[in-house]
Amino acid sequence: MRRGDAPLASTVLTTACPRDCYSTCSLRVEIEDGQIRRIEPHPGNLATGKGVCIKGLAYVERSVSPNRLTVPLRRKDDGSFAPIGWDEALDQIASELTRISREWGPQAVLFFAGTGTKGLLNGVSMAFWRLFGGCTTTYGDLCWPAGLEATRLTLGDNLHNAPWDLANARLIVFWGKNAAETNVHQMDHLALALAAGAQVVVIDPRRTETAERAELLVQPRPGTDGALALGIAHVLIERSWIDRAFIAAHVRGLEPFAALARTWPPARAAEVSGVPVAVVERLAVMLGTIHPATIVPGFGMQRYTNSGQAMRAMLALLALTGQIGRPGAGWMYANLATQVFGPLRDPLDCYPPVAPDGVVRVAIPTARLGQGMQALTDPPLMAAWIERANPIPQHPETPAVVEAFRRLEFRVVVDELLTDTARTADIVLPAKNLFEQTDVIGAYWHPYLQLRQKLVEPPPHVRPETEVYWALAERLGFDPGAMEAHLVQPGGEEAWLRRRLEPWPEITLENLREGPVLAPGAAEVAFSDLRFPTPSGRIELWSDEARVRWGLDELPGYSEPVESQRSALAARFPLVLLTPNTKTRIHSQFGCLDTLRRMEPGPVLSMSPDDALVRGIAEGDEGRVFNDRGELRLPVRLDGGIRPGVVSVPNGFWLAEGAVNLLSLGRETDMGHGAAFHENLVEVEKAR
Amino acid sequence: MSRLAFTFDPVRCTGCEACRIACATENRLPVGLGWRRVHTLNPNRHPAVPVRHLSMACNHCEVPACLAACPAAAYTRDEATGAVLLDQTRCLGCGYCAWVCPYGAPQLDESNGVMSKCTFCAPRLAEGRGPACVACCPTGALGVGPRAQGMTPVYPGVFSDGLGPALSIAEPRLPVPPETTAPPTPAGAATVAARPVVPRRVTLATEWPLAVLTFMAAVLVAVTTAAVLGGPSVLPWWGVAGLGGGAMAVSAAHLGRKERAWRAGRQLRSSFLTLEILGFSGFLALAVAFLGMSSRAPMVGWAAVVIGALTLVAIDRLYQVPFHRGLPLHSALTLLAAVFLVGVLVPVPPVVVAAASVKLALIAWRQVRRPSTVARAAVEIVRIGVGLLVPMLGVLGVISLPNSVALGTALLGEALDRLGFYADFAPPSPEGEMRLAFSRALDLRH
Repeated sequence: MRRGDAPLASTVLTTACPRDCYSTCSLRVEIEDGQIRRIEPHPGNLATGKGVCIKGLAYVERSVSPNRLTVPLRRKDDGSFAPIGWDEALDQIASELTRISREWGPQAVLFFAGTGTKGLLNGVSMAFWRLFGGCTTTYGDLCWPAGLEATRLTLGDNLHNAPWDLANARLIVFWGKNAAETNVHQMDHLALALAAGAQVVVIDPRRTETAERAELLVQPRPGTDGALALGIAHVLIERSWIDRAFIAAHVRGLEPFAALARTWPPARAAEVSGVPVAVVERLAVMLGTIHPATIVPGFGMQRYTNSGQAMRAMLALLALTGQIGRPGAGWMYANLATQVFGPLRDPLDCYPPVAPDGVVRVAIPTARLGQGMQALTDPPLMAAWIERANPIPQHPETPAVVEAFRRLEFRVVVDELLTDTARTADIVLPAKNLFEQTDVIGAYWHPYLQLRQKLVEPPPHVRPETEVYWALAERLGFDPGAMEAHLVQPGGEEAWLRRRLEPWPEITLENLREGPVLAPGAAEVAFSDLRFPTPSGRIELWSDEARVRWGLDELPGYSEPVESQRSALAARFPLVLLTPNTKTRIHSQFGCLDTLRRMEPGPVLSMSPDDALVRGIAEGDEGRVFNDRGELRLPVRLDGGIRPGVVSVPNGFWLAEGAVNLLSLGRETDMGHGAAFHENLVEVEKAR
Repeated sequence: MSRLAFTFDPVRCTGCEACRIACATENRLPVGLGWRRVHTLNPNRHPAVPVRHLSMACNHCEVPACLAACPAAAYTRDEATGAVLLDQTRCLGCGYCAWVCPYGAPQLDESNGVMSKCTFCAPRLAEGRGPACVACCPTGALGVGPRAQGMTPVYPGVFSDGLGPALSIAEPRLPVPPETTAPPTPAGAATVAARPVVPRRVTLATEWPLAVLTFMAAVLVAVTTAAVLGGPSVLPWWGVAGLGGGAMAVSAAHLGRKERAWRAGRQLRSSFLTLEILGFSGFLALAVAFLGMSSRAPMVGWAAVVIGALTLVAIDRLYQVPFHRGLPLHSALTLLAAVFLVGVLVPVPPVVVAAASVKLALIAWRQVRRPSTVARAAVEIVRIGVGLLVPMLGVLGVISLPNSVALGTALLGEALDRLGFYADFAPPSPEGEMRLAFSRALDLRH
């Protein structure tokens, strides 16, 4: 509050949370005296209207956090940072970019943007780099493309029923998804389903908070979900719990798939996955007879070198039983109904271009960022511009990423905080927060388009990226006409957004200001017309594209993960390290806020009491978790619900706290160019 | 508007603490103050027990313990909503309400020395908005509804009767935990069966001023009674005045707002703390008058004895907070201590023997119910040996002992016992009840 001023009348405005999160909530924000006073849910969003998660509520603290960067910084020789003015910062950036581009070409500059914040205006960044003459960038994605591709190959597109439709399901299988912590608003819909008599199964090596609502927790060996699915398919087909009419009309490849499934009797699935035969059969009984059935797969379980194929096998279970295209049924993985603004949807949008135009060199797999950056020649990378991302703790193989950045001559990082990545930068530019620039955002769970409104002025020396790019473009002498056409001048956001919304007259900024608006073409029930945009027009259990594009089997066969507990490496490192997300953070964001820090002050190593017992480790001891790639020393927490042989450390903590990617290896998933983080064998011993 | 109650659905609650944060934001709470707290049963996921949470702020009880106990009469009830409200301008910061509330609702705000607690978001209710915690709960676990008569929730962490908390809990019975395919071995499960450590709300470090006051009260009542009974006058009137006044001044150090100490006499009808303060003040006045007069009027003396005894009864009752599992009988009860000391002072051998026997029995019972650490056991042995046996044997003439030594050892023993009382005094808490529920669910002895 500014002292001495009469308080301004408090106003309540609508906005939405742009984090990389399923919920992507609609919010009602109360402003008092130019500051955020209260954050409450917007009831117009039927998916998220019940409430606000702890991170959303923590925005009140985040918007005034003393850790927030408010001026540009330059790194000095001793590694500390000094504040500088914008002119100085932009002059230096322009000068360095010009020099490097002249000497090496524009592709010597890496432009890397992560998913730290959503919004249509993000697209302006790449428009800048194209006007610059080009750049180098990455393909693939850390998060979800194996599953996206598996779904795309099978159903043709990533769409699912509206989130609130879950209340209509009578069988719900959370397969590697911990909605209670990572999509808390889904728990409301789950509660309605439970009240109506739905049965719930959780498949997860850990007994998560979500599992407390399940009657059955199936804990397979990590990375063996495909084998489990094939064992279930075997029983479904053998007992004829399949919808032959549906298959005949809408599924391609039953015969060869059935032949594959025949080779997976429950005993074999049990041997591979560690799930008892009786439970494999019980899962088949449930999926075969309790309808409508919804499978809710998570992202964690598709971060292996075999998980694309695994997800195809899991999805096949719904295809066999006709659980696609009807209320209460389906595959709730990702719903891209709001991706209407570009020619391509994910995952195609993040693959290397079919016909590169020579302007942007799309050459680095995200899963192997460090190695990819170091390996480039002709031209090699000389500079980097990083925005909306914190790759050093978040990408696999932190040391490789650190080394790749160290080799550059010039780095610019745009961020709200001085993250591990920002600390390597030559110039750090202070980023806006979600309340400080208007933008339109989509989602990947609910089908709403939302306005992320400007509610407060940014601090005096903070500029949104679009303004920074405009100022930089002026310094670099870009053609003014091109700037008008492709960039956004300060204050021009609304005009730009209106142009993007033109194709849909029913969607206006005015509508969006009131609350969330359903995306054009969004349907309550996905694929209700049973038309699938696959090559055959059917659900494809047999996919030629799997072979052509990825070199994989046309059928979703099972193979062990590359770094599997049955490989030779496991003799030295017998434990699988999972690195899930928890409710107090979105990856590396939110961790510095007091109100959330007190709930999770640092990373903890969760392990089964059996694994701890044989290693002489007690609750609260310091454990050393290590493999050939690195080590972490963390307090140990005994978890009576985690599968023996599996340990877990949450990701997102910074280097000083304990960053899990010191232990991971950069591998791509079998399809989609995703990152196989969870393929990570370690050993744990009591720290001396 | 009918009177309101909180509703809580444990099936929906994921323990996310959005309610805590919404409350803290709404009420601009400093870090460290949590009007609403979330407690978790079985956080280490023992396979035989479900994982369940409980979100509680203030239960705005039908029979609020805080309101009755507050010596400054700082609590009132808002008739419209049923909310129990604290007037911070009247609060002394004595913390007694925190002791008598088994839900941990009133908390000390260190920044201003007074207590604070959930207000049921009275300003929001007036606008028809609902409390902040309810508005923000993302799973719909928290709600607000009309208060029903005879509502007694049964759930881990909630004390089920007596205070009438305005809290309704859906599905209160603990469910069967999920059937799992990879449970730990029995040996492994045993290591997560340890009962969680419950943080102590009361420690000697925080309560030493009260130890001083209560010990001194027992001693001064005994000394005065001995004088009235014709025994030796161990202290002159100014000694009694000085020690008594000094003890009261020291106990005022316990208050968050020391300058408001004079307000402690306001809740005569229901607060044992008020009775303690008024009683002790009255006793001191009468005792000083009696001891100071050259002609010691027996009526004044007996009045002092009676008021003094009633004061000690009030002190002992004060510590019998609702649902306390250890009391009411403890060897360090001030009345018992005073009787023992009178026996040593006058002396009255049968009284000494009787009182010492009762004390020994209570100490033994205490050890049986909850065996103590080696350090504490050593203190107890010294206390018994030096503080009980030596003076008893001296008074009985079994050993030859100057009266001063008998008195000195008795006082030492009583002081040790009184200090030990604060280690044993454990006002109940939701965390303690959760621990108990966990043990019960595991079928362990508690």
